[in-house]
Amino acid sequence: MAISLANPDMPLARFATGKLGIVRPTLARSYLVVAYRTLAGLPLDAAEQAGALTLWQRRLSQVDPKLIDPSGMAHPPESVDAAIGVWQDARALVPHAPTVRVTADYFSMDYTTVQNCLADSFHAAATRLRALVTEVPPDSDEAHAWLLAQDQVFASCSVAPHHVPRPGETAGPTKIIPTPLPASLPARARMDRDYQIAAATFYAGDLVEAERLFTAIGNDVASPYRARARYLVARAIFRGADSSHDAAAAYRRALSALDALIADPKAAAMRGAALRYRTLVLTHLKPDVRAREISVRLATEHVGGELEDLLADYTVLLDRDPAALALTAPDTDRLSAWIGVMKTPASGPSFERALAIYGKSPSPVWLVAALVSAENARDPRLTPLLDTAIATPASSQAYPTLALEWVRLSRARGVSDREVFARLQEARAHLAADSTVSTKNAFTLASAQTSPSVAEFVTNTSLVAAGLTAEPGATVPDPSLKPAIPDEVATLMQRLPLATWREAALSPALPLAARGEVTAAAWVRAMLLGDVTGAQSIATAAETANPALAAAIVKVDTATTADDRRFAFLEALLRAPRLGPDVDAWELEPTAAEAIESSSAGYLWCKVDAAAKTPSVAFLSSDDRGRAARETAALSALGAGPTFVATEAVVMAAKMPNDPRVPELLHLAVRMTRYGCRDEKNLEASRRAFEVLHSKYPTSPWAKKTPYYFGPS
Amino acid sequence: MRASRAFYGEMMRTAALALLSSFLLGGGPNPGRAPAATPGSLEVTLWAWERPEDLRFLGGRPNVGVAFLGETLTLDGDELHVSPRRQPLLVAETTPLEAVVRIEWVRGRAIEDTPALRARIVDQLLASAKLPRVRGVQVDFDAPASVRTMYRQILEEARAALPTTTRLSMTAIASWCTSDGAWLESVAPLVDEVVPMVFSMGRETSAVWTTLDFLGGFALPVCSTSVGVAVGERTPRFAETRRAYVFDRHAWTARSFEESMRTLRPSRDRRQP
Repeated sequence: MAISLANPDMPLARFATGKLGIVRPTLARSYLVVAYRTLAGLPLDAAEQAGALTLWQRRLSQVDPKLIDPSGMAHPPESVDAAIGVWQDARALVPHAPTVRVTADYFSMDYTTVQNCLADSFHAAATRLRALVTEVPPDSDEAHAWLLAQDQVFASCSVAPHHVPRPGETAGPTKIIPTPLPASLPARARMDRDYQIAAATFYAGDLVEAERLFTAIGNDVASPYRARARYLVARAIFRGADSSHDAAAAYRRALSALDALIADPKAAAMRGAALRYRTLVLTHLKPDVRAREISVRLATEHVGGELEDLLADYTVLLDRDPAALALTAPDTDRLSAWIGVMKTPASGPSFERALAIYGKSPSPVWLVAALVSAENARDPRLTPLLDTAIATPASSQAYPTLALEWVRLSRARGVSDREVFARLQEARAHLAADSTVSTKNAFTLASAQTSPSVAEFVTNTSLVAAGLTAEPGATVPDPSLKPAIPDEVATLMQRLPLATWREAALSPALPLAARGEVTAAAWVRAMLLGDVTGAQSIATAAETANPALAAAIVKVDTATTADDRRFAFLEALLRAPRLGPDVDAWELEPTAAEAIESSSAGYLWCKVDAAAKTPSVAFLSSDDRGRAARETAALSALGAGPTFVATEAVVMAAKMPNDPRVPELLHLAVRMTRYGCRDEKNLEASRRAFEVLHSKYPTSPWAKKTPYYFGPS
Repeated sequence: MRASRAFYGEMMRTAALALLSSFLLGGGPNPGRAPAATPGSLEVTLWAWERPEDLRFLGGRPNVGVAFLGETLTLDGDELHVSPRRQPLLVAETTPLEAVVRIEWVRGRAIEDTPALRARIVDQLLASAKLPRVRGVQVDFDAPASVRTMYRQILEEARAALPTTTRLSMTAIASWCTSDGAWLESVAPLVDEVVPMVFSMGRETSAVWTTLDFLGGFALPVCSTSVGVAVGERTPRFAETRRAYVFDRHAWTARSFEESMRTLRPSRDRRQP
């Protein structure tokens, strides 16, 4: 596609640093948050950029991370497998320890795989084990007993509440809780064991019992696990909320436990973890409050390393109804209001909201929102906004967006295309040299649409696509892409009169990448419209740009009779079935001869829809438009390409019945009615060509190769 | 479909004659009908993608199964990243289940076809086949041309390793059925079913529908036994013996299921060559 829609152009690192390009409503919300911050004068700092890039790498897991962030600013989270590796390395400190397989997740009855043990649990265990082997001999009974119990703890990671076998297993693992140590053993060993028992109980899913056990440890002032146990009390309550009859009450209890922990200076070691967990609980307990809280923070302050989590939570919370935010978000939550407006472009209510906020706080960010949401271009309140937009300096990150919105709205307000084009070229000239491909392409497409002359139009007919679309909707650059005619330009050309096609085809300004398609289509169009002189004037250019077609075109061009010319043209269409009166978008190769054998190749053309409302270029006069409309109607009357060639083949068979080429021509025409585009006359045209072939040339090998005729059901 | 090549060749020859009278596609929904079950003898399988799905309302309905996204495998050079299903799926005991394994690849990096990588993928397919109550595995891989040979080998190795009672299915981009016939024919003997996905076809939409409207179906017999459609998109009519997979961008409800059933309509033979 010419313009990347769901994501900014790669690398996203450029976008994160504030080089926004065009801010489109189609951008996913996490990008719009960054755009808002940048346009509102609070661009991401380095830590925030790293956070945003980490989130995007995580979400676009099917895009090469280096395409997203070539400089390596992102800090992908450690995988739980890596943490298990750390734990396994620590286990090796205990001689003769048995080999155990550790799995962090379990398979549940509802076909989900649930990550039960988190990475930090393996790190905590590894840390304790490394300390333990300095306190007791590594090969001692104490060390082995501790390790056995810890292995039992981690064995519980893969214990599902309902003991469903994992994929490939015949029976699920069963819950094994370490046994308590007798009172005769040292207190530290007993405290370790009590914590292991509670942890195994927690991972095994017995959350009520786990809460009781962790609470007891949390109340033990001597336990080194006191703070961590209090944190795990909150986690046990939270995990149990789903199965509790009053989830909200459970969330509140978890919140209360976390607040007490956060407020306790003696539990400072767990404060960070508790704060992070608190946000998770709040997200469940009060999603609206949480969304607002995050939104206000994201919009007004640097949040450093928290940005990744905040942005992730915010966009998930926005999933409910982002567009409604345009109207429902309070003035104190301008980020949400802005995203809501951007997600409802050309919408009256959104425009009113954006205008109201812009009136109170004129700034580029709300100017962008007001223009994007403007539905009625003739609203007089737009006048000062458009004046401000066009006066915005090129150094502003809003510049390309405002320039193109000015173009869209000014055209709709009746500003002459010549003036619009001139302003557009001025704005284009001031684009940053390192602007994204999508930004440059957007200006190219707008220039094509507003061109005041054919010469200016043709210079804007080809471009390199911004990329290919990968899952999930991401546009990714591809080095194999080359300049070609985009869909938008191909559509614009559908309503050019033949004289303009000819002028475009012969223009020295026509880019090389567009010459093959434009000259071939212009030549076919002239032939179909019966303008032999016009076709002859284009023939040389079409031959040069499409060398593989040269012989066929020369044959038409040099035909001495009208019938010979008609026959040669028909042959050209059937031998090079991708010919047609319009250009094929994104076609990279010149038109060439090929066999008719694919239903998806888009052979010849579908019936031209003369009534279709198609955008038009600016430079056509009313006479031009009238001429183009008449020509479009004439092309439409010819029907779809296959119908046309089948009908023509029958005519040529009648005119030149003894020409030995006729049977093959009829065969190819019938074949084309199978693979090409159909219309209401397709079946009849196919049947007639079939009948002529079989009745007039029954012994021809081409008749034998044509057992059926075809038509729509 | 797990036929020998000779049998398959025979199928191709006879299919050429039967093609035009075998099925008819086209037309829109038939809102006048209110099916309690699936239309005609059509077997319907609902695709349950990565979102919480409660499909217990399907319990007891004849001919309705569920194909759930069990895991996504991402090819990254010669490495494989496994993303298991994280969203719950609730189904009735009586509902037949297929596990779908989606294969993706990291854009911007070449896929390296190594025996070890293929073996890991096949292991994942085998593991999916062993999930509780799963009767078959469906591979969903929009394989680019550069890795078709690898994909074929994966199917070959999976077929050899899977129990004969386990159904092996593969999805197909609809345009494969119109323009990549030779490749599809080469993999067809390895699978029990090819499911052309007649939705979200992008630039191919017009060309594929031209074929469907014109021929009344895909010319390739391997593309003619099953079809994948999506709620809210144009839906073909089906031959009596077809299996339809139905995708919804939102979580299924009893109501959305009933509405989607109304768009699936058995066909009648009415066109002769």
